[in-house]
Amino acid sequence: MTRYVIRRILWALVLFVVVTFVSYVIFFLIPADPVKLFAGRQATPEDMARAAAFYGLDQPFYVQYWKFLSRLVTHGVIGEKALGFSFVNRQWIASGVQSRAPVTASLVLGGAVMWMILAVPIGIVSALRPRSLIDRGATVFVLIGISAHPVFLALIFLYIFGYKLHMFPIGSYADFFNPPPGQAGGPLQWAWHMFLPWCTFAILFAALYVRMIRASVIETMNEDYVRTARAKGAPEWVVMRSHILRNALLPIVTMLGMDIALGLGGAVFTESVYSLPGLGQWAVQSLETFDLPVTMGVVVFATTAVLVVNVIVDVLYAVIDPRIKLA
Amino acid sequence: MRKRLFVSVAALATGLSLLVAASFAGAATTAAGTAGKAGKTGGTLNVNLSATDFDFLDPSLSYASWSWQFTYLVNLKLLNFPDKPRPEGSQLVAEGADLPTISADGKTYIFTVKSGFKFNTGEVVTAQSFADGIDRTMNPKMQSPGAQDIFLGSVVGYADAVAGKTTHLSGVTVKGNVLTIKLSKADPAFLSKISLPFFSAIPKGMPINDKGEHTFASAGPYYIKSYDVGRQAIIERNPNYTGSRPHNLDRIVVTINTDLDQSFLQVKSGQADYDAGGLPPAQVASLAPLLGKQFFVDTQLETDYLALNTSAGRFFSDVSARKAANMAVDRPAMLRARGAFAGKRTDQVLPPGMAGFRDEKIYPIAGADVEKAKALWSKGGKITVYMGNRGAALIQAQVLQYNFKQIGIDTDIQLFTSAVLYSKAGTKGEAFDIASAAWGSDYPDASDFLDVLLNGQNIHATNNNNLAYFNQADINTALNNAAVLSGPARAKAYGDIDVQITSKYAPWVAYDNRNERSFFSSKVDPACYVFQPIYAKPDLASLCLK
Repeated sequence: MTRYVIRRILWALVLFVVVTFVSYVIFFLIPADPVKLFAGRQATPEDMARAAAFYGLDQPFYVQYWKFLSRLVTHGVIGEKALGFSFVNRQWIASGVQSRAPVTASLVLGGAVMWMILAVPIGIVSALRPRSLIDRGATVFVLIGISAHPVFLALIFLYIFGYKLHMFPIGSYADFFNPPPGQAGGPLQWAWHMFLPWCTFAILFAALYVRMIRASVIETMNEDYVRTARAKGAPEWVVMRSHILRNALLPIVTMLGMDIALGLGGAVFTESVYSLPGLGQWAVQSLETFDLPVTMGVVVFATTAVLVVNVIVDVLYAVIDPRIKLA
Repeated sequence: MRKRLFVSVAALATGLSLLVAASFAGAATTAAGTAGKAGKTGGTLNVNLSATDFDFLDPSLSYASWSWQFTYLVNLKLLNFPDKPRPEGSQLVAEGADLPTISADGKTYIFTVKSGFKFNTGEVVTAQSFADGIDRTMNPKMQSPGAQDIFLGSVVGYADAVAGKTTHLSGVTVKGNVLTIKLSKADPAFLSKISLPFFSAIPKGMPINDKGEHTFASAGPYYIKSYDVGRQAIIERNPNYTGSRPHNLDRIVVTINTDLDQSFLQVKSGQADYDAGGLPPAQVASLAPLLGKQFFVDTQLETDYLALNTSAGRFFSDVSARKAANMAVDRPAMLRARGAFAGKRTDQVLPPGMAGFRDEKIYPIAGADVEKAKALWSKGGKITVYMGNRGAALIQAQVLQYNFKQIGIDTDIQLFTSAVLYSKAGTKGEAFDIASAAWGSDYPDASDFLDVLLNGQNIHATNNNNLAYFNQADINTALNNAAVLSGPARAKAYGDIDVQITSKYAPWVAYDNRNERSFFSSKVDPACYVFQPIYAKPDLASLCLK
C-alpha cells in the first residue's frame, strides 16, 4: 500500500513538472515581449535592455523556468514570492491566489451542492418512472443544460432576476469574511450574491448528473440483490434506501470529487460574467495581457488541486477495491 | 458507504440552508454600495472599472490611460491641464507652481512653487516634493515607464540617473521654493512632458518600490484611501486641499474587474453610477435618447489606422498601391464595426483637436472610391493583414477583405491578441503588409504622433511604433526641424507634415478618431459633466450628484 501511494505521488510530481513546463514553453513561443510592459510603449532599445536585465527577462526560457521551479522549492508553493509577480501590476502572484481562491471555491463548492440538489431527486424520479411526464421533462432539462452556454445563461439570469425582478444583485461578490470597507459582506450577503452564479455554474453538471443517476438507479434496480430483497418482503422504501440508492449513488459520489476539481474550467465563464474576483477571471485577463506569471500561478494552483484530488481518489479506490492494489 | 451517504445528506442540508439564507438576505438588504446624498457637493460616486484593474495608482508607475483618469484626481503637478472642456482643458495652466521662467536658449526652466498646498497628511508641499517625485521616477529601482528617454531624456544628468550611478538628477535643483530644471538641449515640448503624472509632488520618504505603493499621501483634490488589488479602490477628498480644482464628491468607490454587460445593467438600475471601463458596443445605440442627460460622447486625441508596410520588397513599398488602399477602404464601414457613436471618420494622422491639425479631405471618407483605387492600382496581388482577434476587429477584417477584393487584391487575414499583434508588427522584417493599430498620445503634442510613429530615424530591430516602417528622408528632416520649433510655428509645421505625409506618401490608411462614450446613472447631475480632453475621460473631480 505504501509503495502504491509513493508511486502515485511521484507520478503526480512528474505530471506537475510536465504541465508547468509545457505552459512555460507555450508562452515563450508566443511572439510578444513582456519587457514593453515594464519599459513603456515608447521605450528605446536601451530602455528595454535596462528593464529586461533588471527583471532577468533577457535570459533563455530554460533558465527562467529553472528559476521558477527553484522559487517553488525555496519559498514553498504558498510562499509570498514562490510564484513571482505579475508583469502587468507587479503584485505577488501568491497573494493574488490566496485572495482569489476562496472566491472560486465558493463558486465551485456551492455550485456542486446546487447541482446535486437538482440532479439527485430528478434523476431518481426519472429512473423510477421511465417514459413518464417527469422523465420526459427531465430529458428536456438535460438538453437545455447541456446546450446552453454559461455566458448566455448568466446574462439571461442577470437580466431577469437582477435587473427586472430585483430579486438578486446584478453581479458582484460579497465576502463571507472581512468584506472591503463599505461593501456588503457576511454569510447572508455572500449566499445572496452567489445564488445566481451557483445556478449558472450548476446547470450543465446537473444535466449530466441527472442522466448518470437515472442510468445508475435503473441498472441497480435490475440487480439480483434488489430482487432478493423484494422477494424477502422488504418494504419498497427500505429497498430503495438500503439496496438501490446506496449502490447507485456510489459511482456518482466518486465522480463528484473529480468534477469539483475540474470545475475551475467552467468557473472561468461564470466568474467573468458575474464579476466574481476569482481565479478563472484572473486567468482570462492574464492571457489577454500576456501576463505569464499570473497564468503560471493559476496553472500551478489548478494543477496542484487536480493532482491532489486525483491522488486522494486513487488511494481511496485502492482502499475500497482490493483489485486496484493488485494492479 | 455509510460515510458517503452521510456526505451526500450533509451536502443536501448545506445547500438547502444556503437557499434559505439567500432568500433571507435578498429580503433584508440592498446591493453593495450606497447612493450618495443629494446635492451639488458631497456624496459617494460608485464607479465600476470593467474588464481591467489599474496598472498602478503610484504616480511613478501608473501609465494606463484608465488609471490616469483616477490619478488625475490625486496628483499635484507643477503645471496641469484644467478641469475644463476643450479648448481651455487642453491648455497647460499653473497648478503647484507658477508658470515657469524659461531662459532664452530654452534650456533652463525656473518654477516657483506656490505656498499653501498640503498633502492629505498635513505635510506641506515644497519644491523638494516635486524634485523627489522626479528623482523617484528616474530611480532604476523603480523601473518606471516614466524614465523612458523620450520624456526627460533631455534633462542634465538623465543618463547617470537611469543607469543608477546617482539617485538624484543633477539637472534638477531646489533652492527654497524655487525648482530649477536644466536641459542639455532645448525641448519645446518639455512643459507637456513635465506635466505628466510621473512627475507629481510626492511626500517625504515615499518608498522606492518597483511594485508600487497602493496608498500614499497626495496633494491633489483627492487621495487614495485604500486599494485592494483586483477588488476595490476608495478615493476620498483631501481635507487639506486649498487649490482651485473642483472636488465636489466626498468619495469615489471603484469596483474593479466588473463585466461590461453586468456593469451596464448596474448603471441602468442605479446600483452603480458609471463604468470607467466602457460600454457594451451593442447597447450604445439604445442610449441615444439619453444623450446629454445621462449619456455623453466626446472625441479623444486618438487615431485608428492601418499601417501599410513600406519596407523594400513588400507590397506597399509602391506609393501607388498605398494611395489605392486609401481610396479602396470603406471608412464608414470600418467605423460602423465599432458600434454607435464610436468615432469620427478621418484620413489623416493627427486627430482633430491636436494643435496643428487641419482637415484637408485628401481621401474619401464617405465611402470607398473603387474606380479611383483601380485607376491607381490595377495589378492585383496578395497581401498579409494583421488584425486584432476581438470585437470590432473581426468585422473590420471582413470589411477589408471585401474592399481589397474589389480592386483585385487577395488578403490573408491573420488575427492576434493585441500584445502579440504589436510585438510581431513592431519587429523589423516581419512579413506583413497591413497592421491594424491605434495611437493616443502620452502628452498633447503633435510630435508624440508624427515623430514617434513616422520618423524613419526611430526604426529599431524590435519594439517599433513606426509600424509602416516609413523612412522618408525629406519627412525625417522636416520632423527634426519641427521638433525645435515652439508655439504657433511648431503647430503649423507639424500640421503641414501631417498633410504632406498623407497626401504624398500615404503610409497609413487612417480611418477614425475614436469617441469616449460615457453613461451615468440617473443620480449623477448632467450639469456637472466635464470631459477632460487631454486625459480623454470624464473629469471625476467635476462630477456631482443630484
